[in-house]
Amino acid sequence: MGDVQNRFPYAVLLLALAAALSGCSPKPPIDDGTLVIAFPGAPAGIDPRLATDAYGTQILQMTHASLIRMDAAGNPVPDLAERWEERSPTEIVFRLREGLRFHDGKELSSADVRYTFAWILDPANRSPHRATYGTIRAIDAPDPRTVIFHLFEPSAPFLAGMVRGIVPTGSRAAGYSPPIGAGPYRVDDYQQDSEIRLSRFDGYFGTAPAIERVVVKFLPDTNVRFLELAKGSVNFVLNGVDPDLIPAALEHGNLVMEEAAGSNASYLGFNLRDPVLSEPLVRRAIAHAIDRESIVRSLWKGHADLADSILAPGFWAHADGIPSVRFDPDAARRLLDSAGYRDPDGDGPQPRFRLTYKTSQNELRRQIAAVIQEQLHRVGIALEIQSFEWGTFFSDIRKGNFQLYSLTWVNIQDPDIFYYAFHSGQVPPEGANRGGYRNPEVDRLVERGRREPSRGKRKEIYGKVQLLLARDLPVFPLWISRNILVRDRRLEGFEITPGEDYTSVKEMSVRREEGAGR
Amino acid sequence: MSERPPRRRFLRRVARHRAAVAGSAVVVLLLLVAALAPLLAPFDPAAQSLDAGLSGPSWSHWLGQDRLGRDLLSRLLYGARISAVVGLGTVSLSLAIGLLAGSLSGFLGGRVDHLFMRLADILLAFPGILLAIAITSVLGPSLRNVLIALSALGWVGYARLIRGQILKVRELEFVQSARAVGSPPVRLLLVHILPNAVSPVIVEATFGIARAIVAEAGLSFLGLGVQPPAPSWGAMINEGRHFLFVAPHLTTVPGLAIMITVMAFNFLGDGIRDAMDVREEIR
Repeated sequence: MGDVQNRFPYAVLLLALAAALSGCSPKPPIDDGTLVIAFPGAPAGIDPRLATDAYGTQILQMTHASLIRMDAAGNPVPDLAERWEERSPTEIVFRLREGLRFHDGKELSSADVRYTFAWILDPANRSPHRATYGTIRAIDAPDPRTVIFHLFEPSAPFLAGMVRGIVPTGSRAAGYSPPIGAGPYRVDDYQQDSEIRLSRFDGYFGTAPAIERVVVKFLPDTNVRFLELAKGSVNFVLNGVDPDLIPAALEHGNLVMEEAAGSNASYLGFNLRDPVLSEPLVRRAIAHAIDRESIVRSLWKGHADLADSILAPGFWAHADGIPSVRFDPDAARRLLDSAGYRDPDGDGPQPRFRLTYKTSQNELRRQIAAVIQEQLHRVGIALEIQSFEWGTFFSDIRKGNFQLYSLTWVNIQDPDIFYYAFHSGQVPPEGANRGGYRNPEVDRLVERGRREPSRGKRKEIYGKVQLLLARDLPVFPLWISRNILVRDRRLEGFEITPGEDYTSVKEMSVRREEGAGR
Repeated sequence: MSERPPRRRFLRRVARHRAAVAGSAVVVLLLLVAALAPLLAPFDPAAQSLDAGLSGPSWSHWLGQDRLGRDLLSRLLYGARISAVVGLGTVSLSLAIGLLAGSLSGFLGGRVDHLFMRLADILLAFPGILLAIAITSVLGPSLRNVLIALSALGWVGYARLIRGQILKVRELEFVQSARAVGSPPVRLLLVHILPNAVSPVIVEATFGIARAIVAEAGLSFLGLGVQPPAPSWGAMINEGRHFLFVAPHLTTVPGLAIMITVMAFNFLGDGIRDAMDVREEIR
């Protein structure tokens, strides 16, 4: 009797195990037409007036509509505004579509547009986007469908800033519940750091989305994302499958991969206040010593393109004919010699000089750091790698407390990034000129570029800027990772844009298949 | 006090403890590997061959290669050095501080005792690994700072243990007699009290080594320990965990190394405890 009792728990356990193994799991969400997306991280917030992180922005692309959108080539196209015109370089008029509605059924009018931007501009609200709209002098809403922006001065990046989700008048800053929007999907449930559930908004002004339910899971662990994809409980991952795991993922017959050019440029940053790195020859030597091609081939498995600028080649302002820096360790050694840093003992253990390289704890970044360390070692530069958790790392970079570091520019919408990142007045905290680069000619050009309305002339101006940067190398552009989508093969209609845009989720559909199952 | 010399009796007792024998064999092996890593390792642990990344075991690379094409066996052998240095280093440092603080506390009593013990209470109020993470974050990641971070909290246990022992031993008859015949306080402490109070400390130190090795692996796993290209077992697990499905050997091999090492120290600790007949409560 006692024996039986002792064995009982094991029997239950065994039964449970057998049940789990025999495929009693619920059918995959794709069978119900549900799109389940996995993000490699959770958004910091999903209020369009406050969100700055990529994950938050991507969710907002599904839930919120803005005056305009940018197409894949970076051209503005209508969204809430059916058209817009420049009455003068400092007065831009937007005309809203008719019958726009928010998710709660309330009408969306010009007053809501004015409210959204006025809220961001109010210093009391501490929006990180306030500086973006610094050129706005006043916003008028003369009738429910017309919004007029008055600017202090002509501003070329102004239009790119109009890609900002509109919220209803009186929306409070988001705590746990995000403010409603007018996008194709409404938020049903938001579990911070876990998942967000969306459903189709029937009052959407555009074509109604074919997919009724979208779930976005926040899965920071690469193995978990892989397993969920393999199991079918996630059916859409954009840039979240490790290049090494892609072949294994594709072994599951239901998954397919799509690849397209990206725009996220990784670069090596130099501290130009450092006595060694202030010497341009040293920076060029370091660039020559890094074998980017082998890194792209082995660590990225070819899913990245070499960069010659922080702008992607497909972007309209990207300059043609930027001289590329070849991998040439001999040239690197010669340059270091001529800069006065001779190797004290040739190939011996003593280095020419030592540098510190800071990076985050992201595993791929750490591996890249280890490769660069080894490659610089071969030309006689000793590199010490320090990896920090993200907050410490980024704060050090912003404070200028580094010699070398590596980061990635994401979601570049306008070439005005060159002002932010290389103008001598944009040293943090104001801007992102973290290395302290100073070049009066670049300063002049980037100031002119942000006031120039003509795109053709801007391309010319920023072309010059990119050539100057390629000469001075205040940062060394490394590569631009390609966008890789791994999805269930029945999902159709998603367009991969260079900026990892999720706007086209509303155009997606699930192809019906006879006997489709796993 | 006994008919046989105590040291021989102790060794015989340890030798009878099978797990302890196995444990000490592994410990000796670990120390040998750590000392002789440059001679034993078939490759330079930092030498990369990118295109051979994630290769499985082969004749030239017995345990395979990591993502950067570095030889896993060589990295494992060199990793033993870091574990040994951290294990022994942390315990030595903690023990030195703990012995001093504990002796002063127990022997002098009064305000000194109060000071040290309240400090110990404050430190114990912190979750250990969190404090270590905080310290390495502030000081910057490096082997030296891992030692400092782990010792900053590690000494507390020894100090309390020694203090308790001293409080007990000092009341024993032979100490009272020594005091009665006019033995000076320093001699009283060093010759009569401490030698009779250290048994549980030795046991505790053996377990402490195992704890330090695990803690170092944890910090290195988080990227707060030794920095690349130095091969720490914890860092190796972290590097390999992204490839669990395509190259499981990258995580299982260093994981097993940590497990076996820690088990060995624990077995040895058990053996020593049984042999010394330490009946006191040991954490």
